[in-house]
Amino acid sequence: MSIALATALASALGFYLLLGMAYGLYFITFGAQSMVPAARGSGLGFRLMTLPGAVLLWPVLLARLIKGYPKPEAPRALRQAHVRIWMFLVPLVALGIMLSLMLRPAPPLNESLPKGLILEERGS
Amino acid sequence: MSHGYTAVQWNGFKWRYDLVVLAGLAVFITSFVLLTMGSRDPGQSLTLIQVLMRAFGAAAFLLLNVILAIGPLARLSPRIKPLLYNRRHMGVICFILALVHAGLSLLWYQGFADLNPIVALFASNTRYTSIAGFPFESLGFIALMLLAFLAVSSHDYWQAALGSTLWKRIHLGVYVAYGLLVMHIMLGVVQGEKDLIYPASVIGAFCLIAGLHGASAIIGRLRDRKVRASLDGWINIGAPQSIKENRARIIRTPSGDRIAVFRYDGKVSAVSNVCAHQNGPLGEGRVIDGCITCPWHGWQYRPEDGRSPPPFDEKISTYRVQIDGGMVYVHPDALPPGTPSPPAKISEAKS
Repeated sequence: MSIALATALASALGFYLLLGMAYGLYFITFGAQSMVPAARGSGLGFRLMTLPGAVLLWPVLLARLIKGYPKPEAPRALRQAHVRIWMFLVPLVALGIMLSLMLRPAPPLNESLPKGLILEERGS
Repeated sequence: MSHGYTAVQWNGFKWRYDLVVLAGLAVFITSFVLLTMGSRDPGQSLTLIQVLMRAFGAAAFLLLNVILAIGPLARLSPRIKPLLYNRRHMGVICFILALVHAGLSLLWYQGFADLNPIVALFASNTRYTSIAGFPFESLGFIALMLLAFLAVSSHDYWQAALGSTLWKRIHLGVYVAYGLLVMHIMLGVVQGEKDLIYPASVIGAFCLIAGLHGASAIIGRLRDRKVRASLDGWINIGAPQSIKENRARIIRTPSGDRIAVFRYDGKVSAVSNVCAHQNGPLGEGRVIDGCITCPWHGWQYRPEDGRSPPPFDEKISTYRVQIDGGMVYVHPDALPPGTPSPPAKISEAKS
């Protein structure tokens, strides 16, 4: 990755977190209870604990405020998603493991010899 | 359950649970540091920062394996179920360990560069087409971001705020993070270490976790009593006496839904087998004080309408049930969550 692209990525991450921080301050004062009325009257400890979540999840929380909540999915949909993830993960990780072992660099010659047998470097 | 929120609802069990986890991790990290520092050949020495970096990374990976093993193990053995109760604390601790590992790594390898450490992390190695020299740090960074999303949203409040569907989908990301971390280790420390303990531990752990999840899914399917609907659509469950008092029989409908049919107080009711909280298997729970109680975190629902008792407001789907000719019949079409469904009375059916 070029320095320019890495800089753009890091800047985007910083901007995302900055916006999240601004939203988070609103969230811990008013937003938390407007989204979930049961949070009304909750203490400072709870509100501070929601701050990291608001900072990271602010786009989703804003979407929820604007669009509302989708209909809950059937439990079996989640179970199927769970199975699909494993079906995808196992072959992919197994292939990655195999490649990483096959293409692993050989240890330096000195390290591959039994202890006590040390190759002396030839001076030029 | 979602009435009133506190940062952590501490109780004696949670204190003991967290203390055991933290003590175990302290022993692991100390042992890792001492063994690594003591077993290095001259000329292969690592600095204390590098050893601590590996120790925290290894502790985070170990804890993530424990977290992922608890779910399927609890399905295979009821004795593991208490470990599920406070698993989210382990998740947060796992993220903190991973964060310390990442912080030490950034400090050691990128902290003294002129560039921003995050920029340096991504720009210092660009060999994405090489296996041996792959920039494995980027895999660890993405996994850390995923773990961050899971850790900050682990409180029950977030399930209510984000909506159950999205919250559960986000938390499936733990498996993606796990896969990324396996490859982070295999393409990172394993490439530079001659010691076989690193690849052996990671491959063993991955096989164990994948095997446990596979075994749990297969056994779950075998345990479920798959039933066929009769001509009029109702499913014959068998005699009411075949269900233990205050317990349930779990059936899987032809469409794949799991229904828990409870017998209690001379009645039979049927509800979804899936707890609204974290998908716990309600049918493996019991009826306590007139309410179906989830074996994972103790969330409760009334069998007659699938609603949590006041002041709580969680709801699960109910199913129509009747007793005819001494047999319990359940209709496989779920009623909307919280819909009252009159229980079938065993005594009336007999007369």
